[in-house]
Amino acid sequence: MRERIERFAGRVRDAGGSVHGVPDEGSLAQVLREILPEGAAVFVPKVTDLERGLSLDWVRSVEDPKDAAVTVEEVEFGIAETGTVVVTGRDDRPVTGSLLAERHVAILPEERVVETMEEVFRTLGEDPPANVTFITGPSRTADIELTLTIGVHGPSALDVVLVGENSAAISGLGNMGEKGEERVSKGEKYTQEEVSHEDEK
Amino acid sequence: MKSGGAIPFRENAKRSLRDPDLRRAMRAAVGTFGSKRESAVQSLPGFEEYRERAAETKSKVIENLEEFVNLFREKARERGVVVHDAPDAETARKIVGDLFRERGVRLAVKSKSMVTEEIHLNEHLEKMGIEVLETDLGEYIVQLAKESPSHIIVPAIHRDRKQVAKLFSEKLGVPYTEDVEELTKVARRTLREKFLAADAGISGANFLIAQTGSVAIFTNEGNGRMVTTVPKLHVVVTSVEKVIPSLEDLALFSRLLPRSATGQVMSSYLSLITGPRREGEGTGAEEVHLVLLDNGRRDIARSDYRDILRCIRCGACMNVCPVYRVVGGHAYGSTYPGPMGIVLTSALQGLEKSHPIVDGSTLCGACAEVCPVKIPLVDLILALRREKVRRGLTPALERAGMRAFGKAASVPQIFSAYQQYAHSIWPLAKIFGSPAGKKFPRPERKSFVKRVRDAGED
Ligand code: SF4
Repeated sequence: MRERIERFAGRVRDAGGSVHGVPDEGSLAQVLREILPEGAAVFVPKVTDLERGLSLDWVRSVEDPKDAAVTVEEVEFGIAETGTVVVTGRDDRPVTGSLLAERHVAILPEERVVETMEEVFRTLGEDPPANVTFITGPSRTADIELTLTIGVHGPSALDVVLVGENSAAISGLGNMGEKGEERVSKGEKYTQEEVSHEDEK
Repeated sequence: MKSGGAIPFRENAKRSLRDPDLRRAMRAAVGTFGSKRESAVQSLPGFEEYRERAAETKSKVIENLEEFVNLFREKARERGVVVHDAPDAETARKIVGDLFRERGVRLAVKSKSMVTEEIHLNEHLEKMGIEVLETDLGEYIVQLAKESPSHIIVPAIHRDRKQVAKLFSEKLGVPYTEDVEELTKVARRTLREKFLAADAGISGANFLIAQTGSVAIFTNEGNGRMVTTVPKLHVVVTSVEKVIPSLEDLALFSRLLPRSATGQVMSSYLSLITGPRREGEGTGAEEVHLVLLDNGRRDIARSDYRDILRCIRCGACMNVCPVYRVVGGHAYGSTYPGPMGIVLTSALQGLEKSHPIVDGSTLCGACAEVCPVKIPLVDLILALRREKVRRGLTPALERAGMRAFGKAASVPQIFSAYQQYAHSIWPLAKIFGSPAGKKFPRPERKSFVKRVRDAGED
C-alpha cells in the first residue's frame, strides 16, 4: 500500500500537481489552512460526509463554482499508474468545480488509490454516471510554439491531499515534464528545493 | 478549400519553402515533439505489446464495423443520446444546422474536432448566422487568422509567438505582448465569458465505447470539459471508425494516445460522457446529440486501404515526417496532413484529387515506426503510388522515363554505362539547362558498387 501511495504521489508531481498527506480527516484543516489563503472564494460541493464536515471559517464560501478561486472536494479514485484523480457527477456533484476554479484541491482517502484505469472502469461498471472526469495535473497547453503553459481554461494548480496512515509523511510540490526538467515559469509557487522532497519514511 | 482539380501539392510546397516565417515556426516546433515522445514511450514497459493489442483491437472493429457501430448506437440510445447517422458531409452539416435552428442557438462553443473540419461545419453554421467559436487555443488562433489547422494536434504550429502576438493585438485589441503565458491568459479571459454564455457545445470524440455508449475525449486545456458540461445542449460530431469495444480498451488506448501525441503519460483531462445528465447527477448537458459520419469510411473499410481507419489521430507520423516538417500542413491541401493525411485524403476524396500529395513522402519509414496502432503507412503510400501509375495519373514522360530507368537499373552494365555517359555530358546541362528543369547533382563517374570495391582495395 505504501509503495503504491508513493508511486501515485510521484506521478501527481510529475504531471505538475502538488501532493500533501495527512494521517486522518481530523488533520485536514491544518493542511487546508496552508493551501487556502485568508478570505479566498472557496467552493465545496458538500456532497460527501467529509465535504459537509469541513469547516473552513477563514475563507469565503461560494455556492457556484464559477465564482470560486478554489474548489475543495473529495474525489472518488486515484490512479497510481498515471497520478490521476477521478471525479464523477454522482450525488449531484458539479464536476465543473474542478474546472472553473483557479485551483483544485482534491481530497483523496488513500484506500481509494488503485493501480490502473481498468480498475476504475471495473468499479464503475456497465452503467457509468453521465460524466466521469479523469484529471492528471493542472490545465495546460503547448499550442504556441510548443511552449508549455499552465492554466488555460481549467485550474492552474492542482493539490492532492491524501488521507491515511500511509500518507502522513507525503508532501511535495509539483514538477513539470517527465523528469521535472521543465519548470513552471510562475515563479512564486515552485522552486527547485521544494520539488525534491522525497517521501521516505 | 477548393473543390475539383487536383491538390497543387508541388506549388504549395514551393511556396512553403519560400516562406521564412513558416520555416522558422516549423523548425522551432518539430524537434521538441520527438524527444518528448521518446521518453514517454520509454517510461512504459511493454509499449510494443500495447501497440500490438491496440492495432488488433482497431482492426477487429474495422472488419466488423457495422456490428460495433450498431452496438454503440443501441447503448448510446439507451442512455438518452440522440444518434444521427450521416452518410455524407452535407447531411451531417444539415443535421447540426437544423438542431440549432429548432432550438434557437445563436452562440456555439466548440472544442477541437477534425471531423467538423472535414465537413466544413463552421462555414455552414456561420452562413446561418450562428456564431461558432473555437476554444482550443491553437484552433482559436487559426480561427482568428481565418485559416485552417496545419496539424491535427497543434493546429497553429505554423505560427510563431510573434505572429500570435500581432494577431491578438489586432483582432482582440489587447496590448501587444510576446509573452506566451500572457497570450494564454488573454484567451482564457476572452473565452471564459463565451463558455458561460453559449447555447450549445460542439465536440468531437477520440473514442466511442460500444459497451456503454460513452464518448471519450482527451484534452489538456480544459476546453473540452467546458464544451461538454456547461451548455445545455451538447452535440458530438464524429465518425464511425472511432468505435472501440469496451472501457477496458479505452484504458489501453489511454496509454498510447497522449504519449504518441504530446509525449505525456496522460492528458490533463479525459472526459467520459455517457448520455445527458441523469436524475441525481450534478453534471452533464440536458440534451446530447451525436452525429455519426460515414463520408466514405464504410467503403474504405472494404478497400485495400482499410488499415488507415485504425488511426487515432495522434499526429506522431507527421511530427517525424521529413516532408511534413519542411512543407507544413497546409501544403497537403486537405484537413489531414502528413503521412496519415496522404492516405486518408486519398481514400476519402479519391486519387484524381489527391494524387499530387502521394509524392510527398521519402518512404523513409519513420512514420510507420512511431504509429501507435502500427499502420503500415509506407506500404499504403506505395500502394497509392502504384494505383496512381496504373490509372495514368502520372505525367506520361515521367512514366516512360521511370520504365526505362527501371529496365536500365536492373542491368548493372547498362546502368554504369549510362552513369559514365551522364557524368561526361553533365557540364552541358550547365550551358543548356537541365531537361527536367531541376538541379541534379552531377552523377558519379563510377558506379556505387565499383567505388566500394575500389575503396576496399586501398
Ligand atoms: S497514422 Fe498512426 S501515427 Fe499517424 S496520426 Fe494516425 S495513429 Fe498517429
